[in-house]
Amino acid sequence: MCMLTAFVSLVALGQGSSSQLDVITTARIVLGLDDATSVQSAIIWELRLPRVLMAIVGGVGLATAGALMQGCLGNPLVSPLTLGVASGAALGAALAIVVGFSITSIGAFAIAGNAFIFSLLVVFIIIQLGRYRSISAESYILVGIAITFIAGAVVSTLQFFATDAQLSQLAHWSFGSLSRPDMAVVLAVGICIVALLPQAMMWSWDLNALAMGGDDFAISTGVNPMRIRRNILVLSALMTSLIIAFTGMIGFVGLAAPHMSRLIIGNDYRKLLPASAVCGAFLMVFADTIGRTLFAPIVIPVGIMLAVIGGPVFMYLLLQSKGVQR
Amino acid sequence: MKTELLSLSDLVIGYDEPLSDPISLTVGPGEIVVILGPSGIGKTTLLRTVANLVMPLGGRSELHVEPAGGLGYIPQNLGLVRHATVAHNVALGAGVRMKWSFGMYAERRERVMKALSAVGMDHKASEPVRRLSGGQKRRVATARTLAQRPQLILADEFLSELDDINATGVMEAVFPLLAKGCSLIMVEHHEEHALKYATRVWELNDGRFSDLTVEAWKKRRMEGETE
Repeated sequence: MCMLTAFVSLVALGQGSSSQLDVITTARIVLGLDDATSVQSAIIWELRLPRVLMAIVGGVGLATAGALMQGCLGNPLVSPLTLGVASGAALGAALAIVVGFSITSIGAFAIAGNAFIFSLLVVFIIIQLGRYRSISAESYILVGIAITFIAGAVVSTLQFFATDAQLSQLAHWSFGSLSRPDMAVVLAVGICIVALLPQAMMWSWDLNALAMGGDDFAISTGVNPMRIRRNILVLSALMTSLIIAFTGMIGFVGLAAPHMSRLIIGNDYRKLLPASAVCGAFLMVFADTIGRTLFAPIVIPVGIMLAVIGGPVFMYLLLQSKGVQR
Repeated sequence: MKTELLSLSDLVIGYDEPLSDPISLTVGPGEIVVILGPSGIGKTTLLRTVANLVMPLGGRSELHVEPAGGLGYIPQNLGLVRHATVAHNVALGAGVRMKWSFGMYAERRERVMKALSAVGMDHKASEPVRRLSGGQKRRVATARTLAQRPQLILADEFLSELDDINATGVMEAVFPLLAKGCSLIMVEHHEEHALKYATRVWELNDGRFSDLTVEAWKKRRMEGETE
């Protein structure tokens, strides 16, 4: 799967509207076999590479976050989208775009900063309300769904009062696109995601205990379910927020990649987390490459392509699998 | 660093209706507490509330143990993986508090075998749990908690289904851990088993909670029978 992802990434670097750069030429330049002209160099290293890297980083982060959330809440339907994290980000972005309200003072990061902080705020509310009502996994999910609706209602209200330009900007943000982040942002997000991954792996044993038999079983093996659930929610929300703040709403990969990996390698989270990460990266790069080339020079946002390509594949895999349950 | 392992302050247990008056107490190291009372009175609910598996209706329950693996819990249904081997089940407990190192796997195996031999189940290490009797499963669940090396054990009827010899054997297996400062809080129907080792009795009866020494509980019982 890693080899396949690397291969698709290399092909993705060679795909675009430039007639000077086909796949073979790009591959030879990237592998150091040919020298690049300044135009070719700019296209590869400044335009295409950040995009492909962001697809890999985004896929790894969102798929890992999805697997973590599904494991700690014991529900295969949970993803960053269903738990309200993405809705929080959308609300933050809508506030920045329509009202001009931004928590961050840096103009370039007004939307991304708002999206990041509001999505974390949603998780904080989910954890606090989940604790107030009860401590079961279901209560976290129900509170998350309620917040999704509330945030959605506020965003709709803001859209109602928005100008055409603001509406267009908001719609573009909500599609989810890999064209926004530049190389510096990609590297910063990538470093953060890579730094968070070891912690996710350290909790894989605890996730196995939670997934095997719920809270009672987990606590009988020495895992504190309430604490681990809270910690994992924070970690997965951090990963999701870091990515969707810069890319916009990309949801499907967080749901589908863990399921696809589960069908291939089973339920052991020590293997499932890295497998989901690689599967997520593959899905993102593949969907983005198709989105860029299918109707070139028109670029279809990766969020849409993921749903269009991934949805049917995901349904096929689920219908084909017999007896493989979460 | 607090010396007590558990502190309850005005804790009210129950799901919709309160099952007891507010409970305030602390549990220190090395104590053996037995929760007694008629069936359905809320003994398991109290244990699950202490384990943070059930939200209290009021008050607070605070555990002062290490977050990872400091609390050992033996549920009434034992929570064993039926298709996995005895050793694998015990390893699930052993792995939680271990830091990663090159010798970790060998150390975990050693811990598992030591815990199994303490409860007399080392000869069944490679047997699947589904083939064991009820009593043997209880000993495996106890071994899993021993391998975890917790600071506080909450056990829900872990001596039931065991004959006198095996019950004594299991308690003796727990003693070395208690000698190191671990405490045990257990719900038990078999009073004679539990009271043999207990240092403290929590009695739940008609919504009233009493925290008594074993002698005080026995005296109260005798007075009740005389009346």
